[in-house]
Amino acid sequence: MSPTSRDVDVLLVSDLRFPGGTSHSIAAEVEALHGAGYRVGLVHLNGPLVARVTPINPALAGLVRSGSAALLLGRAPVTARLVVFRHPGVLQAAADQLPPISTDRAVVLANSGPRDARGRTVYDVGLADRAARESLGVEPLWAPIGPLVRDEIEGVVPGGRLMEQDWVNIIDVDAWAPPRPREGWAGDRPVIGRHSRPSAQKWPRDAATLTQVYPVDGSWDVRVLGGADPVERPLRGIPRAWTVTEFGELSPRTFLQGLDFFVYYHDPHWVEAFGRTILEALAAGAVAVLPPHFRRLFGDAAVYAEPAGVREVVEGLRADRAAYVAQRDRARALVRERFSYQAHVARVADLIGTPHSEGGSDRPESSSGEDRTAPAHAVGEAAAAPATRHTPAVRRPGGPRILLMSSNGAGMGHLTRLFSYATRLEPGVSAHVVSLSQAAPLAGRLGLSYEYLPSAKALSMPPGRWRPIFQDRLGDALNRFDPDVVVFDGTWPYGGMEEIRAAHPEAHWTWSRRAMWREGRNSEQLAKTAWFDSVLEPGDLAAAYDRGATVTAEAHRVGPVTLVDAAELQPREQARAALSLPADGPLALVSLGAGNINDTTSEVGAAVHALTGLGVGVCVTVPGIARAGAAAGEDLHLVRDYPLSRRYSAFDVVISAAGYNSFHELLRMGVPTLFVPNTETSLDDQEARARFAADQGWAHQLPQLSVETATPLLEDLLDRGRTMAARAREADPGNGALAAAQFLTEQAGGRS
Amino acid sequence: MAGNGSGKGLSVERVALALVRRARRVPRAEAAALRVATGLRESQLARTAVSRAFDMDLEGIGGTVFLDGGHLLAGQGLDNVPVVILTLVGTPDELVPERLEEIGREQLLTAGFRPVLVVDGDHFGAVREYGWPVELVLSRAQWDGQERLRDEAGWEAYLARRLREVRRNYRAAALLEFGPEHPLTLTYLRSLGPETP
Repeated sequence: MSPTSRDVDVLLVSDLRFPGGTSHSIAAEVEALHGAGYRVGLVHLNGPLVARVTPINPALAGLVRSGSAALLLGRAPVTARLVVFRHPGVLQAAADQLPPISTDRAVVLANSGPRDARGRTVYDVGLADRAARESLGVEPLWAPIGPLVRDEIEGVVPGGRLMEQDWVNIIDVDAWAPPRPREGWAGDRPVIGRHSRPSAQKWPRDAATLTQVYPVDGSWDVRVLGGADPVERPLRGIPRAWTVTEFGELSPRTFLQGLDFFVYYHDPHWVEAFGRTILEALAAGAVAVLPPHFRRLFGDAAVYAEPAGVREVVEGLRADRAAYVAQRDRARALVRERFSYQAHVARVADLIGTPHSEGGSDRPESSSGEDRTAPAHAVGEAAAAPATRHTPAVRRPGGPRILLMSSNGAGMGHLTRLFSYATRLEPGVSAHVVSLSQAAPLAGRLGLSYEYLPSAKALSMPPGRWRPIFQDRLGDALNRFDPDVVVFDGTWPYGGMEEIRAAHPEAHWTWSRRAMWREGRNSEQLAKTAWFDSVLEPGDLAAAYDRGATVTAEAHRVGPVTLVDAAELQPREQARAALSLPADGPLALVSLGAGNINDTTSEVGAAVHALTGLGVGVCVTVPGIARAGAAAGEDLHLVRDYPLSRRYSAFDVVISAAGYNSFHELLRMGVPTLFVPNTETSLDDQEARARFAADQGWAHQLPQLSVETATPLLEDLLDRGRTMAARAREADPGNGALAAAQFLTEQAGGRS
Repeated sequence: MAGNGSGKGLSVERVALALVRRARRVPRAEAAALRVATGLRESQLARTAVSRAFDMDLEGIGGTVFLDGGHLLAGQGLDNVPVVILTLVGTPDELVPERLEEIGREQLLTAGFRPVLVVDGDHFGAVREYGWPVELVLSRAQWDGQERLRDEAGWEAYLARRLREVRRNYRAAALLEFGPEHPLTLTYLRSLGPETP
């Protein structure tokens, strides 16, 4: 199997789980289009009308497996010449699940009216239309499935976009037709029947109408496929004279080919938007007798009568075989003309022309999300180059071993701090990273071995269920690596750690615990200090504003820890080249959190507008573990690099959250910075950190960013930001990472 | 620095259990509770309460497993969809994306399983596209190249041990290879969904 092409002629979008007519109609269109040579794609949306976990409709699944249609998964872009949304309610509710789609033509197929039989709103034309426009960037045509739906939507579809022809359902006429037209009647009395779901709306609601159209006296042979439960109440049971067959006991084709007449009447309050089973009956060679409202849809293909007139119509045709045969043959000709696969192919060809004989359908595409996140024109994908400076030159087996474990967290803070320690260990000291963050492979880029352990959150698993997994996995790593020191970096030691520690008493356990907790928060966690032999606290330049629980707690304290030293800062030209950024002109970096705690889209937008207004080019970080979408689609320079701080000289000003790492890296590197503290963190007091920096005159800060508030501060930073940042550098006691590494090595030496 | 944590959670559990004992007596409570628990996927208490109230199978193979099913499936009953461990260990990096797409396609077509991927390289980004749980094991090359990470039993024994643990930890219904050729794996996965034409 090779990756599925995402370049198709016709893209059909719907909730592909629908059990009935909607999915079968999609399947018919797939068969028709595929047979005509069109490349067909399917995009599934989990819509609001299917409540339980449900597979794709088997008819569609079979077409996907046979290669008639490509099922397009994920968020990779799709190109289509025509997009057809079937069911506006699904589009309206689930458009956010769509991948980016490039197309010139789109049709919203209204396969039902905006309200159901009880008057409840199923969709709103305006909202569904807006969803289509916003998703595709084109104004869609609206196509009703039949005249009744047309009546309901024609007054609300935006002007000029209602298609002139209904987008009627189609059928494989030849597949439904009997091998030979039947010469005689199906029985010694009229054989009539109907085929539908056994839902009340599909049946007349009163006994009088029921007995008029489906006699109970045995004068006609009445056959029902699909169950007749709804008649039990009005008729006080299912009439003995009827033959009722449940779904699955007989194929619809065989059933319909055995009828003389297909008589279909339903609840008068029900708007039958199309009536696919009628089409099947006509193709199968039955004469259809229907309520008059179907005339606009099926025209001369059927015979129409009010319920009271059904007996007369049926018995009249039964008495005139020639008239019956003429009606039957007329119906099949009309079905072929209007409702056949060929008719659908012609309908699509009118919109987009004939199938492309070539055009990249075999072009392989990667489905990797990381490949797609950054546009080709402006990516600083320089991260592959390992930062080897701190990697111990020789890692001998037999020396001290330090296992460094990080919690998952929302950003990179915990993991980066552990990297800071690990890359400064003396030669001969072995480090191994076990992380609950999917950013763990960054350790490999730094020359460190690593393992990944999925967190309870990543698994959507209750912590109590996750704990044994945590214990098994960490225990296995401890057994193999046999560390002298286990370092846990996180603010919330996991339940189960004490048991693991009890099982590995030979190791020294250290809690690497950043300070600046929010005042009054998490103090109960300090009791977990008892699980550890020592506490290592990386310092904070804003410690004077720390009001959290750790301030008075016992710890071995070192200076502020960063992965990169100030001396490692690359020259501006080199940094810009490495990031594929323009060599000249002012550039700003916008880095507002890792993207997993807050949706920072609006703040990013405000930052971009403020900077653009000042004539400054904008770069936005794309963190490896962030969810996509923070800045996608904007004309920005997207920067993905790790560690990015070594290239901070590329930027004239930075707008950043005030997490531990960003805060210290920016100030240590002397970068003019506007801090926008993330106020949604559970524990990290970013506001205090940002406020301290501003009070010291090292940087500016804004609790909430807007164009109006940011612009003057950014102007000031562009003017004198370097001078401000220089003050921070003067106050910096130096990187505490080396002292931390030495402390850990000393603990390793204590193992007897 | 020795000691133990507090038992603060016990009273919360007692309250939850008292509530669910009452809930059991209410007609149609299970369906309603399942809807609530499905809506509150992040709430341990809600899910625990529902599972205990209605004697869900939380211990044997299969049954109710609270585990992320990824982005493709949605709806009530997701916690009862079988978990299947699919190992891509040894799969060349360049082939992983298409293997994932194939798994995703089968998951959507069948709604019959929730995969947990086992990989031996950095494929987190590609897996994240689908939202499935992923387990990382040491590759044979990592094992061979880093003496300090090994044990005496060897890589095969390590892998077998890890896979056993993964299977047990997620109470998976099956542990299957999704290697270069995997017809039986596909047959099994397709058997978890409805028959298709």
